[in-house]
Amino acid sequence: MTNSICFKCGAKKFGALTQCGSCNVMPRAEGDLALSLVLSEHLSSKTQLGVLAHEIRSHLKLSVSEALLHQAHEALKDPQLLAMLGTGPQTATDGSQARPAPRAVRPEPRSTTSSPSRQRKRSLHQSQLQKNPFALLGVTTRDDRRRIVEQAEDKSLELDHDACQKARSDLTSPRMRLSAEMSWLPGVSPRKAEQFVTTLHSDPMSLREESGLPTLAHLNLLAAAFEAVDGSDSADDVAEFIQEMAHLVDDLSAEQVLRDINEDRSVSGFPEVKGIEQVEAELSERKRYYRNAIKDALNRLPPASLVDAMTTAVDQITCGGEDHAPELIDDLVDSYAVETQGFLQKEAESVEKLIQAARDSAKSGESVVKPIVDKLEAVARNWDKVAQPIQLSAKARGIDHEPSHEIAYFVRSLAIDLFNEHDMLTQSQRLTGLIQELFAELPEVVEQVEQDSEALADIFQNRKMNEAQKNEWARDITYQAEVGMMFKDILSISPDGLAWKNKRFPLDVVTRVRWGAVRHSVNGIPSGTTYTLAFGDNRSEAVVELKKESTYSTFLEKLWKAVVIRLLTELFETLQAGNEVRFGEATLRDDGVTLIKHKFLGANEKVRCSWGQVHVWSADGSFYIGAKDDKKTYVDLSYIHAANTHVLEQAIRMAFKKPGMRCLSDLLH
Amino acid sequence: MGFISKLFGGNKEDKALREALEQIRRILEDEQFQLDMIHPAMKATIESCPAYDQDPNGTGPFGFSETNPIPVNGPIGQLAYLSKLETARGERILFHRIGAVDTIDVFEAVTFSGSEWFILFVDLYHPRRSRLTPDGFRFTQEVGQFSGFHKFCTNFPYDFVEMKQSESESGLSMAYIAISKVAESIQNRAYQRPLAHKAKLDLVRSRLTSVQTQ
Repeated sequence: MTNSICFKCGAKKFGALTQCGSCNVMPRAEGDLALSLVLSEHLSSKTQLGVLAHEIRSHLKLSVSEALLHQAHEALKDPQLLAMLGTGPQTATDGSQARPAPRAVRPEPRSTTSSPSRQRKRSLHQSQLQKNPFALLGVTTRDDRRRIVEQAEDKSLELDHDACQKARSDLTSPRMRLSAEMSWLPGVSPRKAEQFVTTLHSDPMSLREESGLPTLAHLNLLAAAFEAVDGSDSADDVAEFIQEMAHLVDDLSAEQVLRDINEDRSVSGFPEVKGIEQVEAELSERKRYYRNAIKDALNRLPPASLVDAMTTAVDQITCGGEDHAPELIDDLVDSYAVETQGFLQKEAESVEKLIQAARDSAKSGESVVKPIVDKLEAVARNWDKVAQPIQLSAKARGIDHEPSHEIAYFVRSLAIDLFNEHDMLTQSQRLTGLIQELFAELPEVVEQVEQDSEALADIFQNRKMNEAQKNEWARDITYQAEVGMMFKDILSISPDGLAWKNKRFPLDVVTRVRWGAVRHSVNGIPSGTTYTLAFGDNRSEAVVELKKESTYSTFLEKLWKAVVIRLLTELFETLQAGNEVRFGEATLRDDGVTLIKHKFLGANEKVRCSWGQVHVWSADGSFYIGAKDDKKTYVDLSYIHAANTHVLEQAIRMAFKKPGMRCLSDLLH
Repeated sequence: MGFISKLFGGNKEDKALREALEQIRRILEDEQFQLDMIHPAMKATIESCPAYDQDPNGTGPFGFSETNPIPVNGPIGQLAYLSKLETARGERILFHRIGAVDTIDVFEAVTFSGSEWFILFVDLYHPRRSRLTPDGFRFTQEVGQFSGFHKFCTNFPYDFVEMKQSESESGLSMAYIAISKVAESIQNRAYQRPLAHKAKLDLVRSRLTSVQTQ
């Protein structure tokens, strides 16, 4: 298969005239088909295709040569190719497939997939096309002045005389005639035109299956068929119909129309139209008429279908707001915006009121705010549903829909306040998600809200993690044991505190801990070990004597995590703040310790040492801090009897491991 | 014939040649014989299908659309039918099978001179071949020696000589046209697909439900 790129989105695809796998668009109009041929390796090199793909994606003007386009247009005259595209002659009976293709290639007829609403038979008698002077008088574009006058006289006998005379005047006055011609079927043979008018009477929707017609004539027929749309047509079908019209309007060519009209005028004997300006002016009128025909049809639908049809049409034709829409769609959206303005304004006011109510009641708690947020969500969704076509269109045009912007930021502001000021993470996340869903067409809002959403998700995650860590810590420090042979007492430790007999200390108030073991022996024979544990605050202390080592060691492990680590940190912080802390006879400073010089005779002396001048050791159940250069200068602190000796030892030994340590609080850095 | 008879030494060879020619004629024209050459199971299927010139329910241009294919009698019938076609300008066609859309075989064809290209749709599940031709074609008055293949030619039609040789095993090679009929066009590289034809190939390939490879 041939490497190609999609004329709509620039994505790579295989086959020039095939459907794009990325945006699902298939070239249908002749211009798109010709361009698609140029956008394939049939007519462009790989390098050129790369450049063209970039131009399409960047919405730049395509650097396609006229010569290649001409070549492509010529190829599109191939009858079998047209038949394959579903745009050419369908039967072999008249041998027509051997003839050159019709001038314009139209959207693919989809008879096999016709919707029920297309299949539903209906009739149409008063469309604009049927009121056209040509239809009224039963004359053709090739009839001369004499024939028109005769027909007007004849028809006056059976129809309204004034209407017939006006029709005659419209067709015979060169200035008025152009308008009548352009609202008729220019470029269509008189016989075929007559058939179409008959079909319009009996089965107007079948005209949607027509193909190969000149663009203006095709549009006039479709606009007439649009007058048959009623409330029972499905939104999807109407949306498809709108898109068919929109593509055709984009294909309108004043030059082509001028050629078609002058071709017929050369037969009918009316003077040729000289200036293209007249045709262009009439085309503007035609476009206005098409837009109004669609608007009128939409207004005949139920409100929900109207909104759905508009949304579907804009969504599909702009590939979700990614591509520019045809002119007709932009015009339609603009008038839709005007007509829905009142509704949207009212809904926006409701949103603002609800946001204010949520703010006012936030202090009363989440249970009060939640129902208001529920209501806010419902109103915002309703608002967005109606605003959706406008948002998509604005996105496709590269502009912001200001009211959507405002609503999105109001809701975002509430989400931020609910979290920052009231810690309502759930409601805040809910609102953020709502903005992301409803205002996906507003790139700036989406970007901002994505950041909010990520931040909230992180906070939520951290909270969950903190909660998990907290639970794990609680599990780690919780322990309970029965102590005693006959009368059991409970020794326990948990996040609620430490407890022994009738004494209970919350973890945070414990300021002192000590523990140790004493081995007993009788005549050198070991008679057991007594384990001592003590903990308390500044006023009292609980002392536990244990025989079971397992209880002792397990409790110590828990105590270390629950209390000692905190005491260590507090010790470092106290020293860092420049305070002194006494441990027995030793006085600790951040940068050193005051020891005692023990004298055989006379009073002991206090000696101030820096941490570099001392060393530590353990002996005989005590912790020693001594001067390196004087054996007599030291303090000893009993592990089992002096409070927090273990804490001090741990602090000093940890600090000594830090290279170049000068202060104990260096560990905090 | 007389010259050939002398060359091969008399009546015996004359008779052998006649038989060979008769065999070729039957391959090219005898519909029943063409059916007899294929697998019995397939033959039975084909014989159970209706015989007509054009599908009465067919839509689209005859032979140019998968919805209105040319009815023919089996794969040999495909070769026989397509080899009998000539354009309004009197040019016969070279062809090969590029795949199928469901049961409808799709052939790419080009005139011997390379002036025109076609995509043709053929339905082989019929006991006889159509007496109609697609628009712009007629049946040739020449002997319709085979000028194409019911398999895919990678380098169509430049690989015609190789493909013809590969048919020697099937016993069909003797029913093919002389290479001299297309040698000049092949040599001159006269076969260049026009843009419209390339676009058609893209489209038809995107619709193929089975793709033929060699």
